[in-house]
Amino acid sequence: MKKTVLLGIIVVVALATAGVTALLVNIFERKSEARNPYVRLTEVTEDTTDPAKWGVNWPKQYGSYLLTAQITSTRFGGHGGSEALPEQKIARDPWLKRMFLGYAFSIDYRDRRGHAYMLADQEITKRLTKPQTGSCLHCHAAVMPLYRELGNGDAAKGLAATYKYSYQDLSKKLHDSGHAHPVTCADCHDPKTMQLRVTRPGFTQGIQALAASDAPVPHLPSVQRWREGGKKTPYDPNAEASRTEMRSFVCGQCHVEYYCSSQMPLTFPWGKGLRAGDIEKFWDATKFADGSRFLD
Amino acid sequence: MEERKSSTAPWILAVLVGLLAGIGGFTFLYAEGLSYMSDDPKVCVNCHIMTPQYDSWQKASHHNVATCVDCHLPHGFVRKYLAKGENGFHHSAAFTLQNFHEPIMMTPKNAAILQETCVDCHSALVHE
Repeated sequence: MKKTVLLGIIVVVALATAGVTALLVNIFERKSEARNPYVRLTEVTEDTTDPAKWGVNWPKQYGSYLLTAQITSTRFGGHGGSEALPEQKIARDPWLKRMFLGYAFSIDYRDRRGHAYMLADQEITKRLTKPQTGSCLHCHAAVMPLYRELGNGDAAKGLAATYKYSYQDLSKKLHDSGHAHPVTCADCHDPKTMQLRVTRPGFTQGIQALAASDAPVPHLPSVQRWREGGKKTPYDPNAEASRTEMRSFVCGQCHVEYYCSSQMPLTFPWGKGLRAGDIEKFWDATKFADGSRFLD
Repeated sequence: MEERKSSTAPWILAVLVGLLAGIGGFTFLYAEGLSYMSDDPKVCVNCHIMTPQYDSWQKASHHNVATCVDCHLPHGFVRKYLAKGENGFHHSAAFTLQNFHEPIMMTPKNAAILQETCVDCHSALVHE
């Protein structure tokens, strides 16, 4: 009896030792996995405007981008209901239509949809039945390769050329170039390092004008530091801004008040400050190329 | 003869128990078992699946005022170590067996703990 008990204990301890060894090997495997956090399966460059290509390397981030195509709404609006397109605000609130008479918003003004739709929705809006400028693509499309092409490598020059194109003509150029995508990864992320950076010339020109002015910017410490540094070269947000500021700047490339029509290039009116009164002063001091008074 | 047979079995048992203790001790050290008693954020990233969370904490707004345990474990002493033990067991089992849902989703119990710690630090602003 004592012998069989002893044999039993030997078997149990042997099994326990085998189990602990299996655990040790498992831990060893996990530590080896940790040495290669992700494999960069595909190269992405400044001209990779298709988010699906970035999604090969970064599937979680691409997945969250795809979520912007989900139908969502709040009590303040959004894409509720079962229709393919969101509801017309001007149908729901006819006073809006009356208020916008003479302005294209009175033709078509729908509730918003997610970022994934920003180019498609711009292309089908009935506002295009009135003449619209190619400047509008600045914030609705992955337009940087097109700007570089139009400006011979200089995106700012490319932007400056687009106000003369009609929306339809520039949109055709965009589609022909193979970059007909909404604003996606490359517009805010450096393709080599994933660092946040701003790309839109409209933003860069606006923030440079703001930095060069005397308007107080207590919420932008890097602009204050640049001002104190003697202002030798124009303020470069990609070089100067802190990461916290950059998290606002990348959104501020498009979520802005702006002039976007056919008389002059796209302009963010920040040259005298960021308050409504400052913006009024900025426009009051602006003249069109023919010397006539600015109006939108 | 019967006596000789039964006198080798205890030796085999002794060797096996020694092996178990040795491999077990080594595994504990290799897996850095003692580190889990501390509050160092680097401990949480022993499991490489936490690397993205650790990286984003490095750049986050709360980086200078909170570490992992400050938000994800209760602030009271006993409750903290109880939660550590419970979560630690679940995390170890899941990471070994790789049988969890991805992306990782927080359990309701841990979400309740997190809400409590948010309110604890921001209580001056959000007291009921």
